[in-house]
Amino acid sequence: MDAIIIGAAETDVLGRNPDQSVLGLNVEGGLRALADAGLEPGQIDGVAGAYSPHGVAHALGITPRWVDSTNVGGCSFLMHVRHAAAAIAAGHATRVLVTHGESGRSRAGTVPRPRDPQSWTGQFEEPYGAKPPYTRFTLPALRYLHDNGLDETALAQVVVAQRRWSSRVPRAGRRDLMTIDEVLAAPALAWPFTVPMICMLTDGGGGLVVTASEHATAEQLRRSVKVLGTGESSDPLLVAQVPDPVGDSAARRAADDAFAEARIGRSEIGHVMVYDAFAHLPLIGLECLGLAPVGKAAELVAAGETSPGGSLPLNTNGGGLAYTHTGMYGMFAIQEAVRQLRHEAAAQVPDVSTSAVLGYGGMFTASSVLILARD
Amino acid sequence: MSGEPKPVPRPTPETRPYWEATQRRELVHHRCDGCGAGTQHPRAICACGSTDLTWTSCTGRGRLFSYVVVHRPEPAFADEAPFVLAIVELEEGVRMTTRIVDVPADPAALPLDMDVELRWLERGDVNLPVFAPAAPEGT
Ligand SMILES: [Zn+2]
Repeated sequence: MDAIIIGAAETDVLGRNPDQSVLGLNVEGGLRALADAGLEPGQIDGVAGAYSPHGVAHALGITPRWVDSTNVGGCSFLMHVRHAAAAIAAGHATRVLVTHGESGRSRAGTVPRPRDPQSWTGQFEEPYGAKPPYTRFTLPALRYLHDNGLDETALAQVVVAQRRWSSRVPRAGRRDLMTIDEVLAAPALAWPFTVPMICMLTDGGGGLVVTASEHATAEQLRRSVKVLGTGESSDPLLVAQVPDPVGDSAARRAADDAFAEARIGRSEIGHVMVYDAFAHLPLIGLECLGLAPVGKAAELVAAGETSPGGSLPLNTNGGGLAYTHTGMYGMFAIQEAVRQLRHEAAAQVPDVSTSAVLGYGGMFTASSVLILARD
Repeated sequence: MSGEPKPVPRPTPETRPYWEATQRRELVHHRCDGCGAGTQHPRAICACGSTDLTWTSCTGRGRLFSYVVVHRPEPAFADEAPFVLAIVELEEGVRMTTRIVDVPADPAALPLDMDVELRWLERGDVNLPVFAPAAPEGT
């Protein structure tokens, strides 16, 4: 595959921004990505996003020849990059703008989501009090811990490790270092998940420009990041029916496809982003990526291998747990991978040239993986 | 009482047999006659390729597969917190999200793989299948 990312940027404000709507956040994310790439809106002919990409195109004066409004939750933006790469290879577009904007905290210009008692979740989950993601996405965690001889300490270790990263990142929302005991002693919203094991809820957005080398200028190529491999899959809608998060799962299928396409081995990965709405996901995600044997990711985290200076730097912006989490975090995982590969990150990993990004969407319902690289 | 009513399921044409069975206090699952695999909600075609799928009774026995203890629920459920939100794996192999009732909302009382059995939670004119620790054999 020849696809490259030539523009990547986040909104100026991450956190609380009641003065900007969802559309406004998408527009700002898109404009900043265009500026990063040195492009004008008129040079974009493809648009993608989980929130009204056609509306974003209109607001930016873009007339697209290709539109992708895939919305499977938080990993949608990884799929947008994958779909954009395919569209560019097919000649359906030359430069695709992917945007994200979400007013997760302030709810400015946010589409209301009333209960839907006829939906699968409305029938089989919500009547039990299982609507907030921290009561649903978290449900398989105890099983995972139990089957691997672990307890909630393993979840706390993830927070401890990621705070070591976020403490070095000025834009991160939660920057205080924490000890295991402090994490475990924090209020439990849904035991075993205490507040620091649960993602932030913020306003923000970002944008990416995807193209192919043949359409890029020398200056764009100089800072470009290659899309080496991609994958996506889906699983049942109800969390109880997900067969096994670390077994034959959407994330594992997406990872296997992405690595096969990238034609690189797991040992060549120098940096990892795993969608971490909750603290069990980095453990499960590392195992789905094949970067840790099943049940062994917690050992890597406890040994400091995912922390600064470790062999497998993970969620180096602090992740959804500590950097930002607007609701659909996937855009920010990609942004951090691009920054690391460009050697422009706040907590830069030395000499990094490959990154694996794993996203989840709709709890465990959907997953997508990108393998990114820089010469 | 909090202002917002607790949500109740509204059946679709596909799920009506499941919810009609709950009116009789019967728990059913959608079972493949080809390979025996089952799901809580209906499917058009089993993963094995079979279209012979039948609503079938469950024994109501299962095991505690996983859970969280919800301390901060959405407002409609504030009067019930803390409560045990669980995945139960039925004898038929089907996993479903449900509640564990008649037990302290305390991990010490909730070992994984504990045997559980069916109970019914009345919510207006809807019966929700929930589970409680199974009575010892022979009682
Ligand atoms: Zn079958």
